Parts: sequence; structure tokens; C-alpha cells
Amino acid sequence: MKQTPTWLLFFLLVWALPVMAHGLRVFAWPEGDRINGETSFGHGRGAKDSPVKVLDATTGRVLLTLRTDDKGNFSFPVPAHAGSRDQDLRIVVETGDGHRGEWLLKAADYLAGTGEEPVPRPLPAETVDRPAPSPGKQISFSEERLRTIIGQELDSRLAPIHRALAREREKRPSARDILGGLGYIFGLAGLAAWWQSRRRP
Amino acid sequence: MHISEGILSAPVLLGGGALSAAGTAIGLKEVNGERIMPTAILSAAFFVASLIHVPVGPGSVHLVLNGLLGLLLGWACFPAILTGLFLQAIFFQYGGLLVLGVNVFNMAAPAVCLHYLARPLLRRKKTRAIASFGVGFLAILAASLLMALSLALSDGGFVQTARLVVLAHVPVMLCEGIITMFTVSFLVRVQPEIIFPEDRS
Repeated sequence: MKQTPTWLLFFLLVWALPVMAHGLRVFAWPEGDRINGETSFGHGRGAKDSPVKVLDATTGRVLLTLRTDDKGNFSFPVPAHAGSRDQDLRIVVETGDGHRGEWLLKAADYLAGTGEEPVPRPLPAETVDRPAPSPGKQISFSEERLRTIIGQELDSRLAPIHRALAREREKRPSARDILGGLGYIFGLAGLAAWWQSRRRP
Repeated sequence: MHISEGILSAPVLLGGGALSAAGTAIGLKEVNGERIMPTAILSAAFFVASLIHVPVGPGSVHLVLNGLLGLLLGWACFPAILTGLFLQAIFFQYGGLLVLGVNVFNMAAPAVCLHYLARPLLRRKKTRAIASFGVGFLAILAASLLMALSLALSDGGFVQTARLVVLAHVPVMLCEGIITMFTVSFLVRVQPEIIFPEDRS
């Protein structure tokens, strides 16, 4: 075949191929009254010591700026009053060398654990009408307090799951993507060849 | 090497797009007949090379192969790199469609310049190795500088950005220098008409 060497080079490249993503990914998940986050270039390396901006997703106002640590992770408290305004957070990381990643954290997702509700929710009617608990040995908790405790406990238990789900959204180039791309390139080459052969006498 | 979406300002995006469109128009005229397949193969190599990573600095960098493409294709590296980058943006989420023009120009323009600078040096056996190493090395260096320039035009602070970007790419420069050197010495021995197409007739 005429193009053997170039083909050879090409196959060498494909063999040497560790499949990795490269764009900068940002994930964030709530844990109690903090929001934790991670940055990743897709193969275990995060964006170290890079600026993180937390924006109000609707107005674009910067609420907080911080930096990632030396593993590319970050953590910040839920912005004050975020609950009262039902604020979605946009978390943007820019590394300064042209990489940028962002993550949208919905108000409903991070406010659940803080005791603040995205929208003021009326107590269910039955709890209001229920007769006072019968006197006994049981310790009495207000409904609100109990709700907060359970919420916090659930949140810390669910944090690893939140994290796993957040990571799951990351798209890695799969064999299908790579082969698909190669198919497109050779398809285009075929198209070009056909086009030129048509114009030739 | 890929600038992400949402960082550059509109004039930079438009300027890059216009320059790349012009380069691609010139390049497409050169892609005819016998040259369609080599162009497609090198475009495919460019497309997959970006998955080979060199972990370094705050982020991570990957092979680009723009020098090799420029050396072998000349102006035709514009359409080849455009195709590769377009598919990378779609399949791997590298860069993005709006910044495609800037990214294409940053990688292809140095490649075309080096093509014309290095061609005469490849003729002589003495200078062949060093010239081909230089093409691989300088193509990344110049692309990094252009990338820093496009970031600086949108943001300010060229020196700082350039230092970050260039330093991050030093390992890639060395890798690409070596790869280009071996590829050229291999092609000269096995298939010299790829390097010197004018000898064919």
C-alpha cells in the first residue's frame, strides 16, 4: 500500500493510547451546611491552586471567590441568605492557562440539608392538629428540630453518593467516540475524493 | 492547548475565526487527488494524539502534533487541524465550537510557517534531524505563545499567562520534537516522496 508509513505511524499512536479526558471538569455536592467540590482533568489530577468563583446563576453576581487546594478540591459554606432567594449557584473554575469548567448547583439540591428550605413550606396540617404527645418517658423534640437533625444526618450519609453522582456526569471519551471521530474523518476524505473525481473530465 | 469556551472576548473569537477561515480556504485548494488520503490520515492522527497525556504543572497537557502536520501538509494542515479540532470539540468536549477558529489558528499558523522555514533544511542530511526536532518543538512553543496572546487580548497580563502556558507545554515540546524527528527520519528512508512531494514528477 502506498501510504504504509503514515498508516504505521497512525496505528502506533492508537496503540499508545491511554483513554483520558482532558477538559476541566468541576463537580460540587452539598454536605451539611457546606458545599464541597472537586476539579478534575479526567484522570485523577485536579486543577491545583486555581481560582474558584461562586456566582448567583440567575444574576451572575459573584458571591464568593476562593482557591482550590493542592489536590484541586474546594469547600465553602452555603452562602448566607441563599435559601431565602432560592438561589442556584454557578461554580466556575478557570486555571489561567485556558481551561475553564463550571458546575450548576440547584437550590433544591443544596438547601435540603441546611434546615433552610428553598421555598417556605407550610407544615402539613395533620401535625398541627395532632393532639399533644402523651406524657411519658420520651424526650420531646420539636418537629422542626427533628427534621433538621434527620436532614443533617442523611446529608452526611448521602455525601459519598452525591459525589459519585456528580462524578458520573463527567463524560469520558469512549472507544465509540474515538472510532466515530475517525469514521467522520475518513468519510470526509471519501467525500472529497468523490467530489474531485466528479469534476475531472 | 485548547482554550475552553467562555473565556475569550468576542473580537478575539471573530478575529481567530476569520484568520482560520482564510487559512482553510487556501489549504483546501492544496488538498487534491493524491493528497486527500495523507491529509485525512494526519488529521486522524491529530484527532487521537490529543488523548495522549503528559501530566505536568497545574493541569495536564497532551500531544498536539501540529508541527508534524505542518511539515507534511503545509497549508493543508489548516483543514486537517480544523477537522480534528471540530471532532475533538464534539466528541471529547475539548475546547468548543465558538473558540474553534482561535484554536485552529493558534495551532495551524505556526505549523505553516515552520513548514516553509524547515523544508530547505530537510534536504541536507546534516541538518535534517535538528530541523525536524525544531519543527515539533517550535510548533508547540509558538502555539503556546499565540494561545497566551489570545488569552491576554481578552484579559490582560500576557507575560504571566505566557509563562504559565509555555512552562506547562515544555514536556510536550520535547516529546513532539522527538516524535517529529523520528517520523521524518523514518519517512525519508521509507517513503521520501511524502517529505519531498516535488521530487515525484
